[in-house]
Amino acid sequence: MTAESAILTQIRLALAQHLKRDVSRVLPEHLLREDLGLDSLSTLELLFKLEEAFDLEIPNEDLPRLSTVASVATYIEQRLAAGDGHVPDAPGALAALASKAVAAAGPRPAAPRPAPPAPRPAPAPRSTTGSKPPAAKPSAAKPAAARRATAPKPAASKGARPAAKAKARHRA
Amino acid sequence: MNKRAVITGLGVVSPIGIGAKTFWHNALEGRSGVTALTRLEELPADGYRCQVAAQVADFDSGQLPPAIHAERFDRYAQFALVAAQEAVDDAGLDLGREDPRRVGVIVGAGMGGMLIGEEEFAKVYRAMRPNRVHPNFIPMITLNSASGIIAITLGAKGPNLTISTACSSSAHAIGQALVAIRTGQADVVVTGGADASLLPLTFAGFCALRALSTSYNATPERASRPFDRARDGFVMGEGAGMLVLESLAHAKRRRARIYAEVAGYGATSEAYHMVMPKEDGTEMASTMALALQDAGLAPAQVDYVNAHATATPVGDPVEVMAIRRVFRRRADRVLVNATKSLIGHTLGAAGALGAIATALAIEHGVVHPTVNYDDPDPACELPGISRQAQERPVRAAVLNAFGFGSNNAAVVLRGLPEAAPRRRAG
Repeated sequence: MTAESAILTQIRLALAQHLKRDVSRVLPEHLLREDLGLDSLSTLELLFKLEEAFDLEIPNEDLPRLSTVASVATYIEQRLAAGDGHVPDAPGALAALASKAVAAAGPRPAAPRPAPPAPRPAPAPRSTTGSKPPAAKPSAAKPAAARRATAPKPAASKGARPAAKAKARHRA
Repeated sequence: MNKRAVITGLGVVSPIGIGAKTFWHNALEGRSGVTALTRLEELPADGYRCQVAAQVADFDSGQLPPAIHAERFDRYAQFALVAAQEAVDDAGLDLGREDPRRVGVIVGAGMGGMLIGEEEFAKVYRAMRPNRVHPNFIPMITLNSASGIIAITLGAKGPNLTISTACSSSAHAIGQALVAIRTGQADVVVTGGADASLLPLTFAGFCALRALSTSYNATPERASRPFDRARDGFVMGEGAGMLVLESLAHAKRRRARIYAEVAGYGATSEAYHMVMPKEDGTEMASTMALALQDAGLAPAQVDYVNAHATATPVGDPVEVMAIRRVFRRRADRVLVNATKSLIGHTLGAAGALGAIATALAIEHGVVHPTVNYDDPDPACELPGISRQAQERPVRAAVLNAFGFGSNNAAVVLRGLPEAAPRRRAG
């Protein structure tokens, strides 16, 4: 199996797990919204997981291209071919991220991005798929991961600090 | 029998000016308050998908009385308080001459005092030092801080409420103020709403919803484009709009100047989806119809719709469908504009600032422009939308506000013969 097909398979598996349906019922030509019943928030959540798994940023203007399962895979493949992001290290990494309660992964060696925030389980969307968040709890959502160097807050602040912050918001 | 409620004072803190007069002058001129967003508090904005916002410039919290300890209040509450003071002054309302228990405060807030939450987070989650959290954390973050400090500052002892329905918060607040006056619970209600959510995490949250405009980062004043074919999402704004609402009898007794009557209010849930409206516009239409019915007005008597119109690809067409459904043939004649084209989406302040633009339209007989309406999208086009200010007597108007959480509000304003004679804007 080529790497490209592996990505399509991974995406189908992730969707199948998320939708609690057999992967044989998640076809490349399926439209995310009309066929798989993903509403706008579920689609955003899927894209977020893809960004995390492949270490990509998907800009707003690319969203209209992501209409079918196959087009999502094609998009990822094109981005990877252009040198953006990278394939997840573990083979089942994308499928594992299909769970609603996203595990806060530590920073990847090559990725200078902040760690994902401690997630809340998303409220069950009122989509027709009737899918519900799995019972899994967020694991190890501790803030030990790297932050951007610009994160400014010192730990032991004195009481006067909120006053200084309020003044800073004057934007004079 | 229900009492009638009228608007007697206005107060504004907005991205196109502080003060109702400045706001209105700039609105009529079609001035955009959208600028480049270079920082969010202490953090640079260059990592964000969206780098434009409608920001309030030159806000000086030093103008607040020292006794208030402005530093204990989030910017959103400071906005609300300044706007409330202006509205009360504008109304010529002297609390010393009122029964304070008959004066209420009902304020809309969407996100409220998030900043301190973002800032103090690190002390607990990073440094594991929970006892270093600042004592002002709770007072600053609690959503009713604005309504609280306004009531305290004014000495208002009537009902003191905060209404939070996301983007429709202050429209609902005005509606609930109307209810309070109609039912005799208060004679005067200081109402409206505020938000100041241009904060590192909160702004990132809106970016993550993919709801903000990202294609106009290099030309900020072009980013907020309600009804335009090239719209690509909303622009976040900040600000406050406050109004003094009082019973008609009370206003007449003290010879207050009346801007307009708040004649009707519709509040519904679409019971549909947390962030998407029902695509056929039937739910929005039902809210507007309910407000008109409450006002005892027919669509034929309405001259103007101040639209919610955030400039999202999906939302604008749905609202236009709803307007067509309610107004039928008159939909092609009614004036429509989008205040958000000038000041972005101010969340908790949006309904109130729209109401203020509507009240002033009724008073002055002119509807402010919808800027960036360069290439009308056929899916949401109406003859009544214009890039120019439109002069026409406005007998009655509908204000729309549709919030996340499937939450809709519509408020009907009507001019009164007893009101000040119409005059040209200054």
